[in-house]
Amino acid sequence: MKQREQIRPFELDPATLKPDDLEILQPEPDGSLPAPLAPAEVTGARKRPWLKLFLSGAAAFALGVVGLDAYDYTLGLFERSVWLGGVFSTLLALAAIGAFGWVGREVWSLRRLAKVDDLRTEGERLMASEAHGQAEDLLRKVEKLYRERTELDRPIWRFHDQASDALNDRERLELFAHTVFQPIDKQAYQIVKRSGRDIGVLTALTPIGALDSLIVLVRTVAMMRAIARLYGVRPGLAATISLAKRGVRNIVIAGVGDLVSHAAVETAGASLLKILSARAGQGAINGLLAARIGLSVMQICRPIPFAQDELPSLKKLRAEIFKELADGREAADKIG
Amino acid sequence: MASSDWFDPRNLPGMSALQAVPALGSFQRNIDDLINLTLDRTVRLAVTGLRQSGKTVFITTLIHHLLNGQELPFFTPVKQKRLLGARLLPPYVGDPPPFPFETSRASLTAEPPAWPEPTRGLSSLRLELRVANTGFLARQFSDYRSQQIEIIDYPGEWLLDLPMMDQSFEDWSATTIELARSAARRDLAADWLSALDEDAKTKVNAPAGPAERERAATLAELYRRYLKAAQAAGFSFLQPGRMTMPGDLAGAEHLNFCPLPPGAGGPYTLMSDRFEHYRDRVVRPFYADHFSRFDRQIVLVDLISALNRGRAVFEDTQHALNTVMESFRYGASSLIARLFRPRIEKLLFVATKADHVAHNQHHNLRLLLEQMVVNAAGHARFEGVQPVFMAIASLRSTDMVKTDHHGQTLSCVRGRLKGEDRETVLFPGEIPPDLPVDDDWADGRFHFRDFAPRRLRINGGGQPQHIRVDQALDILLGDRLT
Repeated sequence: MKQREQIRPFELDPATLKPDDLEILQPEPDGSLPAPLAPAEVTGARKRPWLKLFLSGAAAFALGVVGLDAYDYTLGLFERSVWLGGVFSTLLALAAIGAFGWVGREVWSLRRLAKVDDLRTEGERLMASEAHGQAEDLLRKVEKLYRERTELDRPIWRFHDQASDALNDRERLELFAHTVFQPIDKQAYQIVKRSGRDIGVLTALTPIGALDSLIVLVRTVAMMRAIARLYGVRPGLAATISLAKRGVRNIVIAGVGDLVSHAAVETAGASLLKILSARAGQGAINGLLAARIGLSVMQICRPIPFAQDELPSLKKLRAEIFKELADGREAADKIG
Repeated sequence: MASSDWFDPRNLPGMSALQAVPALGSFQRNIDDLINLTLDRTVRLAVTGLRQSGKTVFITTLIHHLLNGQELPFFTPVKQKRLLGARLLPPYVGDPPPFPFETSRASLTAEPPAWPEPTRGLSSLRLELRVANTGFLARQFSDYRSQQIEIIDYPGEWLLDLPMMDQSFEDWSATTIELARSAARRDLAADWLSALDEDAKTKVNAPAGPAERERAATLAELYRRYLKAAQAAGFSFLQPGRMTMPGDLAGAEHLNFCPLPPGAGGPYTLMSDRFEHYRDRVVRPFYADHFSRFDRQIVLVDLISALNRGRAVFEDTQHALNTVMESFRYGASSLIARLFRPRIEKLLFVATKADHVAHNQHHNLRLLLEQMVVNAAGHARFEGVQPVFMAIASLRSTDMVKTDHHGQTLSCVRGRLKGEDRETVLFPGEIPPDLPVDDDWADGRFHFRDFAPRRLRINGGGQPQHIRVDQALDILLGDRLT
């Protein structure tokens, strides 16, 4: 199995050895493990180089025109009066600085999201392996990610207190996940549940159909950003869009199937029937979809993958959301 | 379930009177069974293993950590921060003798610590765990839920008697004598075998009466000596199991039997009768009265010593383990189906003393154990029992350190060797991930040393003083405490 020569067991020479001087071992990684898989693109999205060239060219052109125009305009103002030119060029400079700062932040938040992705991919690999000694590195990076979160200091300390060096990488990650991430997961779950319920109720109550979509959009985005913030990915616009894209894509790949089939089973049960007036039913489905997106955003934002039994279940979430909706409807009926 | 605390039939006035009558012990036990079944309450966790596999240390440290409520980060109630505490319960009427928890713990916490005295028979201990209720509904009844656990310790040797139940004295004698004549055991059994040959020569049946009984006792004594010698040499597959592990039958006269070749002289009828008595009155009742009532089972295996002792012992251990596994193959064994309807829901096989090798060998240790019983495990799976395999250390007595050896970094262990009074560092060698082949046995590859225990901390906390005991516990009991 291993190429190197078998070394027979032996006792180290007691004369030259000072047992206390030896370093406690952080075992070296076993080189025989497969290299990490590249994060797979979930959909085989077509590459569109010409479109990209067109779009970036057009954007650069527009930016150039606007910039040149602004420059000419300010120059004109300077000819009219130095004061006027001064004030306006200052404003222009402020705008430019703001724009740079904003773009910088966007890039930063995208990179943070990408970093979380990398960590999670590595984590997934370790969780599937029986390796020893590679988790420390990963966890150090995760801890760095949460350096500023003082409320996590205690759980992280507890993790270090409990983690024995005998744990293999999978066990170490599991222990970290349930000591450090458990409270965050709980909060995120609450956010998802609340958003699902709110969207359900609001879309059921709005009289105008067009307003539905707006409500769903606004509330869903708010939910995604709240979850991302909770896990330490401070999302900018670009990161939010990326999150939304991937959240929805996850559903399209895996989610709708289970969503629909579970919902269909549930339809037979009393819980859905109770709320199935046409509009209320619409609301329930909207809420459910939002909750499903919320769950996949949780998965995307967590730097350590969910273990099999930790993953919040859609089934339980649906039952809870439906129950609250049904209760709300009963209350509404009484009032009405 | 959740509401089990507000009504306890045991507290009814009539019940306490029942408990006071010893003669009603077994009746009482059945009532207890019924009560517990309906209230879903006592879980019977059976711990077994061949001699020296570490049963006593495992049970002692397990209970110690449970009582402390610490050092068990992978145990579900601890994970969910819901474990309120645990306490020992006094034994019920009709329970087996108590497990010597206090004395065992005392010897592990003493200065200097020592491995506790091994247990020699069936013993048990009751524990109550309290877990906070989380459900809204359940909280209306009670803030906590209590779960009773009976931990039963019995020698794994007794499970090796299972094949006897399907055998006549003649069959059993044939297979057992053949085994004794095998190359690995021939020398150990020499005295007994020559006594058999002597009888075969004389061809005279000793007359019934004292002479016959005396001859039987002599032969049985020789046979017992052979079994003890074989046990000392590391062999495990030794029938009858009660001869090496008599438990409450120590010194009983009807244990004085041994296999005899067909048509042999000597006390053949007497031996045959005693064999049947043993089979029907000792083996069968064990399965019917005890084994059938276990809910969860953990089997401890000391693979490291088996590897140390060389090929013959290793293969014998493998044979013994497969026989043990047979006991969990209910459906296939019409024998067991005839006796009772078993209910073991969780079956865990663990390789103990994992701290005697470097951490990166734990995986191989587990794979090797799995490999040893791969066929029997497959059959058990087919019957719906899912055996789980693991490498654990009940009381971690070593650290892992790295040393530089001719340019290679080696993972070594540091600890106090058993019987020596100094701390040392050794490279313990590697565990093969698969069954060892000829080459492995030839070159002296396996030479694992025994370590003296490190002192068990009385107040736990911090880094666990065990390896994966909490995960084993979670597999065995976690689902009952969620």
